[in-house]
Amino acid sequence: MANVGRELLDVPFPAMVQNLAYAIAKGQLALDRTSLTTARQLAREKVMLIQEVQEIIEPDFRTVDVTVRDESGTPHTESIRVTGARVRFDSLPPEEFTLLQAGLTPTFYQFTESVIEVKMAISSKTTSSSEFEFGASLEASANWGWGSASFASHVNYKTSNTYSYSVEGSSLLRTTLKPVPPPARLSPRVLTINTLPLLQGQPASVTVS
Amino acid sequence: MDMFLVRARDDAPAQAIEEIAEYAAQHGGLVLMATAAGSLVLGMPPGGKDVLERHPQIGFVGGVALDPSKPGARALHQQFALNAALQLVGRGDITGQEQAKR
Repeated sequence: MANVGRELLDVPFPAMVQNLAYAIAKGQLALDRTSLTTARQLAREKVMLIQEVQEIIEPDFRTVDVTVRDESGTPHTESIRVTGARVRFDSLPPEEFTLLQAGLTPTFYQFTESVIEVKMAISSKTTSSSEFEFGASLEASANWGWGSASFASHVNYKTSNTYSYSVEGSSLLRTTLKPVPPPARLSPRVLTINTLPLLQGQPASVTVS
Repeated sequence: MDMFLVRARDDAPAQAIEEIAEYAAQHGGLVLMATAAGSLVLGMPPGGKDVLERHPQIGFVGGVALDPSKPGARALHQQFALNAALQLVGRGDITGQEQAKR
């Protein structure tokens, strides 16, 4: 009879883990390559963008002539000054950006979780049966002076052993792929040098983001 | 909706970009931007990458995302929204009034 423990040990688990890990590494490499190609492509594509639109609201005085009546009820025309508003639009000139600079970043994915699930169903069944059958027949006859007899018998013995053993197995490989932020080194550093303080005799300020 | 940067194959004919844009629209996608160098930024429903990669004229499909901290992100976002709205109105998915509300 086969050993159930042996069957379990025979599951090629190390090979499955190794194959899965290899497939994940290969898949991750392909994903990263695609993301890097996207980054290169984004760095080549250029767009003109207006970074800032200014809306300047200015007072707009107007003089309006109205007819009013004085204390005696005589109508006369007076000019009054009313305040209006005028919105003046202005914008910075369009600037050229690469799509990467402008804010489009490649999507990076990462395998975050991998599961190997092996299910086995082992069943064994042994049936033994035996049959025994005996039969005999006696035949005798007699005549004058002589007689005869015959005897016959049969023995049937049948034995059978039925043995069945089945192993059913199924395996499941599941991996989870999640988008992750792009690597920090992919985005260029932005060095901002503000020279405005120089006008007031102060040193320029430098910020890195 | 997922965003993709799409380029036509190097040996594709000049009108390939228009064909790709039409193909994306037929599969529920929106052309968010077309660049001067001939690439498209497309918004596609889930499973859009596989759909795009099946097109014979497409040479490259890469997933992209908009980083709101970058200097041009706001302008790009507005451009994408405007282009998307115009296409949705064109298809009759939203009316002009709804577009104005958005």
